[in-house]
Amino acid sequence: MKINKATSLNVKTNTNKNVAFKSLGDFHPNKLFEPQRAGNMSRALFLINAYVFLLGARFFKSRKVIESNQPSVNNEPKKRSISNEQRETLIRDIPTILIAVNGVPFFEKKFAKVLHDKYGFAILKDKNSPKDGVASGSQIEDWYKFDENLHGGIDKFNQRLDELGADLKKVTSSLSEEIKGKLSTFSNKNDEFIKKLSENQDLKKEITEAFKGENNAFKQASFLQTIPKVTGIAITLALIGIGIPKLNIFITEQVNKGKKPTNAVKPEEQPKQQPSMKTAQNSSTNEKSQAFAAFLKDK
Amino acid sequence: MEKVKQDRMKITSTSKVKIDVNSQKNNLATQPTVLSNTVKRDSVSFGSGTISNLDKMKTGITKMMGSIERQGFFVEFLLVDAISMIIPRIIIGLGRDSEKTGKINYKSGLEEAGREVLSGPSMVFIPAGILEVARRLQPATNIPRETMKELSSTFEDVVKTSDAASLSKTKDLNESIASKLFDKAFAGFKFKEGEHKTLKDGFVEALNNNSSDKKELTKLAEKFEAVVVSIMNKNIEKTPQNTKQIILAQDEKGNALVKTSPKELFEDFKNYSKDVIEKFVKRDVAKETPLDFIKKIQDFRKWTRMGASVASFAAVGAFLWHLPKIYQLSNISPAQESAMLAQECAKKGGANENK
Repeated sequence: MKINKATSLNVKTNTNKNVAFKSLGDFHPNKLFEPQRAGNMSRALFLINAYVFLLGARFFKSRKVIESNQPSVNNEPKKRSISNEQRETLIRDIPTILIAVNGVPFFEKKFAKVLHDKYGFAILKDKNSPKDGVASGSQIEDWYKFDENLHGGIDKFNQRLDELGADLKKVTSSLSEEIKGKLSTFSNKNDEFIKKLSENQDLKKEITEAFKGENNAFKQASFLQTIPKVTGIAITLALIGIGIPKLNIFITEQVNKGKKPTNAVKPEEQPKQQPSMKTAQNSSTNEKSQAFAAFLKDK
Repeated sequence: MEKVKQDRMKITSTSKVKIDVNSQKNNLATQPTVLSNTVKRDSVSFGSGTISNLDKMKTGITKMMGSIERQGFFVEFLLVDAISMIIPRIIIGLGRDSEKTGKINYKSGLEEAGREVLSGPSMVFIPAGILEVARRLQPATNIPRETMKELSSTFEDVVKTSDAASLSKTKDLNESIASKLFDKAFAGFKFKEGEHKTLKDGFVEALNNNSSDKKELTKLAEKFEAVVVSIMNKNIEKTPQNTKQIILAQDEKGNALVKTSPKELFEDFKNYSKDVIEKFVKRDVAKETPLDFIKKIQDFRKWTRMGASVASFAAVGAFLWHLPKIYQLSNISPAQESAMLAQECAKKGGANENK
């Protein structure tokens, strides 16, 4: 019986050469195992290693909870449960690893676009693709320091800034208060700005000189370029360093507070035998309190 | 003159004090010419000390973040790891249940220290160490896969068009390869008449500069970068958006397939010359053809690099898997101890119940 009636004539095949799952591009073996310049693993491989080995070791090699060794009560099937250490490992380390590896670039990209639009300085690699991230420091240096070798002079320099999405009036005004004053009548639109500037050769020359070397526009752009990374690091630090550990300890306490303590069993349910003072390996119902007592004694 | 001198001295003596020069009470406001001659513009206005300190802070932050950016992902990770995981977790571990017991929990703190200090940094230093060993044995192992492919392809082009005499001299081969790299990197560029040869010669010379001193080598790399930037800016055809990016290969649409930076190309070329080209010159000519040799050594370096990466992954994994044996100080975890303490307190009830 023919179940699949699809034939080569009526089945649409994907002729698009671009891989559909672009997000898996980093997981191609060649790219995955390609080390970074300093010899470190790629971010994707780092993440895999951390989740498999770091998290795996902490989880599977955590110390077993004492009650899991206790016999079942009234022949009820024992519920499998994870230990407190395992719970803490999951709650703490799953988000921590993800945030530690990807947190900074994630928050950096979010803030970069905001700063780019607000201050008018081109700091993105591609103004139409904020997810590509922030331009490097050396790139910023090229964009905001005028090189005399640049063919086309200040006109081409400004055109490049325009293509990068900068607000030329804001950028040029940051050079100095004098230049800012002279540009007050200029348009906010880049093409009109360039046109009007080309009509004033003296001002054009002044601006060209001002853009050379360590100018104020370059300093401002360099600073703005670092802010997304600083913000990304700060948020990542706060989440990992404070939020997650506190949440972890709180959850552990709350989970165990909600449970009936082993020696808080009602009197009619208590076994007739008196609990013996044995070590943590004893599997009696009062094992937990005994273990704790033993621990305090050892301490 | 005496009055000007005195006023100048006054300005010097009060420069450390925050003053409002716009205030009518301030007698310095009556000496604007003296101010403009002796005091910098941005320290004249109110809060002059604040503004210059802000500039210094901005410069400091910019330099620090620039340094972190240049080092790459692992420095960023180590910074986040140290500040957000190692230090806080040790502190929280030491303080665990301290409000109940009234004591510092050294056991918990030590376990946190052992776990965090050994796990994060090991994921950075073990792979770096393994690749460093590979790099010292075979320098070309440090070259990224795609760049290695392009350098080998360029070398093959040189071999095909060179005479036998040139193939036996490292210097000639280096210069020929550098020349071909210029043609690849700046294909489609248009320069002013007569500039092309000058720029090419400058590129070849800068790329072939070498030194045994590490600091000198860094300077030579910066010099090469300046040469590349200059060449990029002289392109009449189009103003480059990124003057510090060299495209060694592109597809039909002009999208970059293999790109690198001038400093990285300088370093890779050194490693390639030291490893591949020198071995090529010293090879046994009777054993295999030049092209076979280049292909063979390229494959060998590629697999060594991949092998080092796989070995790093496995080594880090093995270390992390066995790490709990080192930091677990007892059979009861701090988490379990906290749980037991919480239950004990809940059983007792009273003021401690909700802590």
